[in-house]
Amino acid sequence: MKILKIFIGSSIFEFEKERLDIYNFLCSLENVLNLSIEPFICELHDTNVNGRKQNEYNENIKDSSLSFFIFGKKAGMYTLEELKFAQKSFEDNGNPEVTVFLENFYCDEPIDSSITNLNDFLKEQKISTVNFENINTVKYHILNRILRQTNFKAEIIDNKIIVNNSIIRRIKVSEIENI
Amino acid sequence: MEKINIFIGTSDELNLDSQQLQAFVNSLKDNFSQNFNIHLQVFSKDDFDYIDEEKERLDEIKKSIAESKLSVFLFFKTAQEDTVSWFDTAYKQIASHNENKIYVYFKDIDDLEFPDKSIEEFKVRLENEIGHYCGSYENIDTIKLRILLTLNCDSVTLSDGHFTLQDQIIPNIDITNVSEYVNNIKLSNLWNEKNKTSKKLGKIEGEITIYDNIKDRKDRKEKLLSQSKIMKAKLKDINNEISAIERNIFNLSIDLCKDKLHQKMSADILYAYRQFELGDYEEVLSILSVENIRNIHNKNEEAINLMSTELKQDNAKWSIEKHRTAIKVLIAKNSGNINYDDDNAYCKPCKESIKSRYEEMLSYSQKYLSHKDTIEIIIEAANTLFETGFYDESIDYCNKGIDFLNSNEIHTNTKSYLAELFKITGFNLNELQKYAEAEKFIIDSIKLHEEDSNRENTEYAAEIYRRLGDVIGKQNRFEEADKNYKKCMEIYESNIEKCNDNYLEKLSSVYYDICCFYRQFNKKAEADKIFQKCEVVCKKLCKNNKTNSNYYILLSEVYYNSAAFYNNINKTEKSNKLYQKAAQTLLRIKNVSEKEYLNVKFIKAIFATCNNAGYSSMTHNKLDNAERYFKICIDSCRYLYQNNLLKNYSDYLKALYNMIDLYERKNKIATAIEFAKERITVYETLVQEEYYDYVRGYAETCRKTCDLYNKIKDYANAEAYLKQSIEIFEKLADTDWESLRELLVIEYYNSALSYFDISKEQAVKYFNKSADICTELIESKLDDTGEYAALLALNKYYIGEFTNNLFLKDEAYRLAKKHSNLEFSQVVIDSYEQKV
Repeated sequence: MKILKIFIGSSIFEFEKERLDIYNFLCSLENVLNLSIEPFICELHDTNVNGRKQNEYNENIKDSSLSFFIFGKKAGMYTLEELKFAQKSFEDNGNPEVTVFLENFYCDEPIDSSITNLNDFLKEQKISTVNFENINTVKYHILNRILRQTNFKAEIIDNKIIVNNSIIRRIKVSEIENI
Repeated sequence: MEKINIFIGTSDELNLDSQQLQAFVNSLKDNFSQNFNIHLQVFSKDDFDYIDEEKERLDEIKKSIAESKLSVFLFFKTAQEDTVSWFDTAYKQIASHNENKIYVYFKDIDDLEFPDKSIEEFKVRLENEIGHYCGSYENIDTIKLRILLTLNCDSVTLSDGHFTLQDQIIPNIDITNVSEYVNNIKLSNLWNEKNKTSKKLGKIEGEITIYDNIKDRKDRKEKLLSQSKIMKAKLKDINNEISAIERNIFNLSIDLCKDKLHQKMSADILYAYRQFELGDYEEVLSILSVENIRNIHNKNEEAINLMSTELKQDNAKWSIEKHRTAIKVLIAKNSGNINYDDDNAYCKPCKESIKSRYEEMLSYSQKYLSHKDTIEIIIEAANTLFETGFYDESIDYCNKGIDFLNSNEIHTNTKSYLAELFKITGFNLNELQKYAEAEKFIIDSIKLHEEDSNRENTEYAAEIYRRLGDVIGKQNRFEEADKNYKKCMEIYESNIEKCNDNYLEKLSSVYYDICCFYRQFNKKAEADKIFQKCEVVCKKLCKNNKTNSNYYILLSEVYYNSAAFYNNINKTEKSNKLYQKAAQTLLRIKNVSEKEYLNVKFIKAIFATCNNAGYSSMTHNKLDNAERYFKICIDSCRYLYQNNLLKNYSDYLKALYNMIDLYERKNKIATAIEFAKERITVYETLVQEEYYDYVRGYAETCRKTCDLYNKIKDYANAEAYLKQSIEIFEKLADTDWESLRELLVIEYYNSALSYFDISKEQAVKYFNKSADICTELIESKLDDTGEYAALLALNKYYIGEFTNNLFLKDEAYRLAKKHSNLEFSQVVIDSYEQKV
């Protein structure tokens, strides 16, 4: 069975729930796609004893075929570093493919400087980005990126996503934006 | 490959916890499929998000629950209808698939927050109707461990504080987050100690490397090296101790996991489970071993039959001894948490456990041991149950013992056994206030004891005389009682040469009882004489055992009791001194050892004593002394409150009231306000129970806070608290207007007074409201004494005063004159006549 390693990076607190949701979503795809999907999120690898293991994370990024980064109001230092490392690795070895999700939010506060820096970096590196408001949009785009690695295609029938004659759970089609 | 489905059901508020659990199970998938050929599949409501139609979605969820071997339900502040219906589906499933398991856990709520009514209702249904165990958790790692152990408890191990499965560390369970570990006070103290020591060691080692490069400071380096050596040895000891406790808890959790305890369970086991989550694994061990011991016997029934008589006896003795130890542990553990306000001091599960153990012991003894062994176990049971306050049960055992002696031949000591059984029966009847019957049994016991040719225990006789004195004294026969007490004292004093601490302790308690007895009959001179003897013995005990808090408590009790006596007969000067002595004696313990200070029993003693000492100082206007004592009361209550050990909130509320009163008198209004706010916070946690007195106290404290703010002219805050107070009263009165309007009429009047400085307009409004209710009560003919008419007059007078309405003031004056003997009227008459 083909193994597909996927790295998911995001600011640790802002998207804690979403990161776990995506992880669980990816695990639910295994049966449908006949793939062994190995998603990597930090909380399932950190122990309280040694704290953050950045080198281990970088190794995982290098070994991954796909990497997804989610940003919201701020771009955390570690996540930004991981994104830069992934992009560098992609340029050097062709792995992992990098996709960045940027959350749309509406507030009166000025945009944080870390996000301005991130946008500059994304433009400079020509990295593909997806804007989202609902997490279902993120899941849908991740599914499409994964399907590119397989021979399967997704169809939408009766508001349900069907792949390989099976329903893809954990996505609400009605909440996907710009479909 | 075996397939195991797990369903996670939570209400929306626990979505993060649900995601964490699902991710946890997903992260175990590879390990389980590679090592155990098991395919894990986790489901939650998120898996069915793709279905738009609600009914279809719910049907699919229920179908998935029905196929799950393990269903975990988590609740927090609300029990959502759909989550409860999922539980019901899972529960129905148990009936057909008995191997399925359901875990129900409630996440802890902050002290200042309250769960929805739906949670209480669901809990009651679970515990009372369904009889299903429900636990609690603070951190989701607790539930992760439960799931892991349920899936495969045989292959999980614990080493160096990490859980491993087939040698792979499970990274996302942190042992310091799991309830049974983190709630174990000893273990969490050791973890803290370990952190502190490691930091110190790191610092020392850092310093050593600096001195490596400085040749002149060899002496300093050597000192540091020796310090480092000591630290390392200490760290090693701490680590060993931590490992031992962690291992004990872990082994027990494996045992518990193997039992099918999550369905209906006995009170014993339920209690054990609760204690386990609270971190008290020793208690659980002592309780569960009833089952364990029985299991060992049942399993070995065949083996026992093949044994020689001697071996059978040894085996039975081993089991009896195990139960005996367990009973001791159980009693020792519970005695620290006795609620002294409650007559039935030991908890029900504790009683059940003691009884079931004695029944087991008797069954072994009757089967394999002699009659002598059996009667001794019966007497032991009767004694233990008496000492733990289960008097009726103790009498049952005495009767059982008497029947046993009548129907079986015991060649030696029959009289002494019978004497003992009569004695215990008498003692029990005394506690049950059946004094005449008690007296009869105790006298019979003395007679038998005197007839017994083997008798030699004089201390034993002294104890019987003492109890007889007590029983007769309670029947108001002073002379006879005095004779018995004197006999008891004579025996003790004639053996004074024994003079060890144990003996002195008994002697002091004899003096204490006799002193109380004389005071009961108002024999002051005799009482004072015995009091002095008692004080000398207690002081000697304290001197001999400077670190034993029990003796200081005893001495303090002696002072306290005397203080209360003198207070009752209005000798306040003497009483005040004795209260202070009592408090000072207890405070000496605080200096002895902090550990002792944290003992719940001690804290309760210190509260009672310091509260009275403080109160007594207040009445003598010694405010600084009062402050000192009240501060101790507050500290002790806060400690109990913060550690969930406070069973009687009125003590805490009383202590806070004293502080408010004290600082108001000292004119430290800001400090008084702080205590008033703390009192409000305590009430806020209590009013949820909708207990009328608490609601009233809550509102009154809010008004008191307003009055304090008025004093410092902070009218904005004053008004805010006053509004809160009025709102609470009005809400309360809404529930039962007929009976509560009599309360509200006064409260509106008081609120109007509080509004005096804040807003005249509002003051008039509330005088009017109070006046309206007065009129309503008068018209309903509920004003027999004229009190409401007087209050109506006062309300009208104030309204007239504020609105410059002379006509209204005249009317108020005329009304007040009709009821001139009442206080409210007097205020109107005095004010009116003064102005005129």
